Amino acid sequence: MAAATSIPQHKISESPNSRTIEIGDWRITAQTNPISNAGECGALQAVLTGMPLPEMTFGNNSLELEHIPSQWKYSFRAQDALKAVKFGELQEGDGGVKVGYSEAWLRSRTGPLTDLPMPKTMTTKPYDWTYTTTYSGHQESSDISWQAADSDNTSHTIPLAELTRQDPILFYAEIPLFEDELHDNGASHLLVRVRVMPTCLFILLRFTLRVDNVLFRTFDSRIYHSFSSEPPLVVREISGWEAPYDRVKRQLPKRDDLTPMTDPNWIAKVLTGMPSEVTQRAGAGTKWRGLGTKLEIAVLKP
Amino acid sequence: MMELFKVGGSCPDTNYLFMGDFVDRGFYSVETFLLLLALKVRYPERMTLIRGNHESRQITQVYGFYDECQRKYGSSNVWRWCCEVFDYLALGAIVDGRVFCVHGGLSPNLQGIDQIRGIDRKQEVPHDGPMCDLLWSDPDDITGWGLSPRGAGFLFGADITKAFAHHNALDLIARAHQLAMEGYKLMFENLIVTVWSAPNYCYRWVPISCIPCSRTEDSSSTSCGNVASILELDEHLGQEYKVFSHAPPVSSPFVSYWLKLSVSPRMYAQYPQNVHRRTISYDSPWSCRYIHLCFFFVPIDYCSRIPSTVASAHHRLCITKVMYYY
Repeated sequence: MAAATSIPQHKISESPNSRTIEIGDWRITAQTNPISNAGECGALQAVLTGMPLPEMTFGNNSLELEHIPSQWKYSFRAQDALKAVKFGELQEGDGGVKVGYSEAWLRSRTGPLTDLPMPKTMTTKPYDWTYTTTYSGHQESSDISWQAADSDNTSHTIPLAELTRQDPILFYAEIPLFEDELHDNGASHLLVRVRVMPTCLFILLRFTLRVDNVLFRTFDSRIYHSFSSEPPLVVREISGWEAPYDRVKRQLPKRDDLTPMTDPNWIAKVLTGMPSEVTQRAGAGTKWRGLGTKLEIAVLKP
Repeated sequence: MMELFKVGGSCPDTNYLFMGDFVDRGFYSVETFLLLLALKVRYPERMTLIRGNHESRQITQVYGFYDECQRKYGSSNVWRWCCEVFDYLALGAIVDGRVFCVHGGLSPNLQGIDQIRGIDRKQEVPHDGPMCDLLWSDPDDITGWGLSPRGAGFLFGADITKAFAHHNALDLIARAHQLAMEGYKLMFENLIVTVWSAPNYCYRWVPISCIPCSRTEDSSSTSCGNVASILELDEHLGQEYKVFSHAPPVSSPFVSYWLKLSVSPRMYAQYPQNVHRRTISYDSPWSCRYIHLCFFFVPIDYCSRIPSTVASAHHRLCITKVMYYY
C-alpha cells in the first residue's frame, strides 16, 4: 500500500439539494434539483427571447468549480447551454435536421394525387429543435484565457492512465442540465459529471442526440486538473462526433434489441470507435460545425 | 397507476377514461396495460381506453415495451398480440356529448367528430394523415395551423380550437401527449387542457449520485420531480383537477415486481373483437356519475422494486461502471 495515494485533507458539506467539496485550493459545488416549474420556465424562456425550452429543463441545477487563490470560477448551467442552441433560421454549420419521415409526410399532403389538402400554415419562429449545443461550460468573469495546448508538453493532455486507475473517489456528482424526447422522435440530453480523486479532478459534460432513423451526435467537454500541477493547470478537451443512424444501429449487439441506442455511454463508445473520417469529418452530412477535437489549457496564476 | 387509483377511486366504483400511452419507458408496461385491459373486459362500461401515439409497433420497439416483453416472456409474442389490440383502440371519446378526449389533438382534415368515426382505424398508426394527427398534433400559441419545426406534424391555435369546439358543440377538449409540469395545463381560455398523470417522470433508471464511502443513495438528485393530475368530472361536467405525486417506495420489492396476473395475457390478445364490441363508441351515452380522464404513463421507481438481493449487486456494479467514466 506504500505506493497508494494517500487521501488529502478535504471537507464535504451537504444539504438536501447541494453538495460541496473543499480540497486544497479548490471548491466544487454540485446543485441537483427537480426540473424547473412553470414559473421558472417562463422566466428562463424570457431570458432566451422566447425559444421553446426542452421538456425537462433542470434550470436550478449547476456545477461550479472555483480555484480560490486565483478567483477563477468555471460553471455549468442549463441556461448558458441553451443560449448556445440556435434560435432562428438554421444556417450552414448549425447542423439542422428534420425527422426521417418529413419528406414522406409533406409529399402525402402536397403531391398531385393527394386527397389531404395542406392547410395554410403560419411559420412559427424556427429553432434547433434537437437542442444541439456546443456549450462547454463557461467562465465567470476572469482575465485568465484558454490557449491551444502545446503538443510537445506532456502535461497538456488528459491522462487516461490516471483516470482509468480506480483511485478512491472523494466526491462524485451527476447533474442533468436538460433532456428532451423530441416529441417521441429521439432524445436529446445534456449531463455533467464530476469526480474528485486524491490526485486530480475530472469533469465530463456530455451532449447526446439521437434522431430516430436520422443520426446520432455526441459532444463532449472534458476538464482535467492535476492537484500537483504547478502553476495550476487546467486542461480542456472539446470533441464532437456524428454518424448516420443506420451505421450506429449496425453495431447493436442484438439486432432486435434497440435499447443500447438510448444509452449515451453506448452511443459515445460506438461513435468514438468508428473511424474519425466518418464521425469527425463526414458525420451524417449535416456539415455541423461541432465535429472534431480541440485541446486547450488554462494556467491559473494566483 | 395504483397510486392514481387511490387518488381517484378504484374501478368500477369510479369510471375511468385513459387517454393512451399505456406502455413504454417504465418497467411495468406489461402489467399496466394488461391490468387496464382486464378492467376493460370485466367492466366495459366503466373503463375506456383510447389510443396514444405509443400504442404502435414502431414506437414500442424504440421506447421500451418491446424490450420489456422480450425480457419477461422470452419472445416477442406478447408484444405482437398487444400491438394487435392497440390497432382496435378508439381514436377518441366523448363524455356526455360535451367533452371531447383525444391523445394528441386536432387535424386540418377533420372538422366534425363524425369524420373521426369514418376513419378506418384498425391499422398501425400511420406517419401522416388525419389518424396520425389525432395522436400527434399539439396546441400552440399561434393563429391557424402551424408546421412543427421538426418537419412533420401540425400545431393548432386558439381559433382552430374554438371553431372545432363550436362546430361540435363541445365545452372542453381534453388531451395528453405533452408533459405538463404542474400535472395539467389549460390553454385558450380553458377550452383545451393537457392532462399529465405520470408523477416524477424519469423514464430510465439513472444511477444516483453517491459516494461509496459515505452517503446512502438519494434518488431525488436525478428525479424529474414533476407532479401529475387526473381530471374529475362530476354529473354536471364540473371540473376538478386532483394533483398527486409519486408513490412512496415499496418496502417489499420482490412481491410488487412479480405482479401475478391470474389471467394469461394471451386471452386479451385473442379476443380483440370483444374489446372492440365493448369499446365505448363515440356516441354512446354515459350515464355514470364520475368520470376520470387520465393520461397514463408508467413512472420509474426501479431501485425500490427489484428483488433486494439482485438490486444491491446489480446496483453496485452499475454505480462503479458509471462513476469511473473517462
